[in-house]
Parts: sequence; C-alpha cells; structure tokens
Amino acid sequence: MGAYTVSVNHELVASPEERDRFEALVGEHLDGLYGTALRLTRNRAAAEDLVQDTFLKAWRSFRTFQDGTNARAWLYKILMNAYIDSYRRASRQPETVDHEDVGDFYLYARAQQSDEYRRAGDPEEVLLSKIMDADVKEALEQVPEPFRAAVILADLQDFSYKEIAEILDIPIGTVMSRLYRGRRHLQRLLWDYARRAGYANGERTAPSR
Amino acid sequence: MTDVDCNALLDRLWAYLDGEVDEVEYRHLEAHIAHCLGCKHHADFEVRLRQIIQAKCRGERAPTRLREELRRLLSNSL
Repeated sequence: MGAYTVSVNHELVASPEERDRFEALVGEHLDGLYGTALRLTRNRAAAEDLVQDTFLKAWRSFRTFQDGTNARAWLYKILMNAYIDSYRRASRQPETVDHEDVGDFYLYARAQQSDEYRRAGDPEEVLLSKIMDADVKEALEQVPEPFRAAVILADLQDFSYKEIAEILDIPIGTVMSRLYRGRRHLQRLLWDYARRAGYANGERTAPSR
Repeated sequence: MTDVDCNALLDRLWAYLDGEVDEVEYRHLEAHIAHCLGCKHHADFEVRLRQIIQAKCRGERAPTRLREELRRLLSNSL
C-alpha cells in the first residue's frame, strides 16, 4: 500500500447506502480495472497498487460523483490519472515517431504481399492462425505510450471515442490518432511474431521487403 | 456523401468497425462492403484480428489478495 494513508475526510460520515453503492461499484469493475492496470503497468504488483490507489481516490471523491453519470468511465478516468501521475511521469520517454509510413492496415497488406502465405493457401487465414499462437499480450505491452492506453481502452474495454476523450482529457481527434497509431504499432509487432514463428517452424520466410 | 470507393472505405474502416460513424455514413460504407469482395474480405480480417486480440488480452481476474485488501481498506475508511 506504500505511503497511502486512508483518512475519512468527509464532513459527514458515509451512509450505509453510500457504502453499499460504492462496494457494488468495486465488485462490478474490479476485474476490468485490474486487467487494464496490468496491461498498462506490465507488472502484477504495480497493477494491484494502482487499482488500490484508484479505489481509494474514487471513494474520496464519491460524494461529488453524481448518480446516473457514467460510473465506469469515471473510475477509468481516476485510474488513468493515477497511472499517469505515478508511472508515466517516472519513465517519461520522448514520443516515438513513426518514420516508416506503413499505412493503417499493416497486417492485411503483409499477408497479401507474402508469397509464402499465398503458397500455403489463404494468406490471411495463415497469418491469423500464426497470430493465434503468438504472445499477443506481450506484443500489446510493447506498444509505447500513450498509444497503448488508447488501444486498451478502445479494444479491450470497449469505450467509445467520446468516453476515451473524457477519460484521458484529450480531444476526440487525438483519441483517433493515438488509437490508430497504437493499432498500427501492434500490427507491426504481431507481424514480427508471425515471422519468427515461421522461422521456428523451419519454413522459408520471404524477406519482408 | 455519395458512392464510397475503396480508398474512402479504407479511410473510414476503423471508425466504421468501431461504430463511430453516423447512420448515413454507416449505410454508405455498409453498402460498399456488401458489393466489394475485396473490402469485405479486408473488413472481415480486421474483425477477426480484433477478436483474437480480445480473446488473448482480456479476462484478467483481480487476485483474491487485492479483493480482500480493498475490502479491508474500505471497511476501515467507511
């Protein structure tokens, strides 16, 4: 738990109803928040700390939380802020720049260009079956920030662009550019996995360019 | 917006698959995909790819330890 001290700084003592409502929120969203924290921090202990931190912060501001607003997005916003405060700041990296102009749909293009996959029959099917065997979690965790967060929120947690814009406090256009770049990056990493799998199986893999 | 060509579809494919286009545009994009085998094939690929990513990266369960720790912390502070 670290340096976190829990204090009841509400003027009023929480009512049993409030407590029940909050406990229901914890129960409903704990697994999703933990999964998100794990993909973000890439570390189980750090993910547990982040989720604890999130719920304590959420409890402190629960009074100001209006019933009927989007509780799930509210919790993820707290999680993302806590994450950015304690992790992203600690390892601030310059934003990586895509020097390679790969287009949005890297894997599909690669599958279509691959003579090897074409020889094996349906090239897209061959590629998808290789990705099925790949360590997709590890690939996702290698997608750099802030693009990874956008991919996690959209593709794993099914938030809309508008919700992600609110959670990350950025314009919708920025959500789209981060999300699409994150997906491109993930597709490139998955292509590397697929190619390595090809070598491992002793197949001849055509040069990628 | 009139007829959609393949490039216009590719420009909007992610927004389309994300359910982030309005109804009118959705119908145009959908009509293109229904008539263009290449684009249908491509859209199906992206959908299946996303399903694989979801199947492999979702479904984490919070450890019991965390669940209990939270219960303890919250009951102390509530």
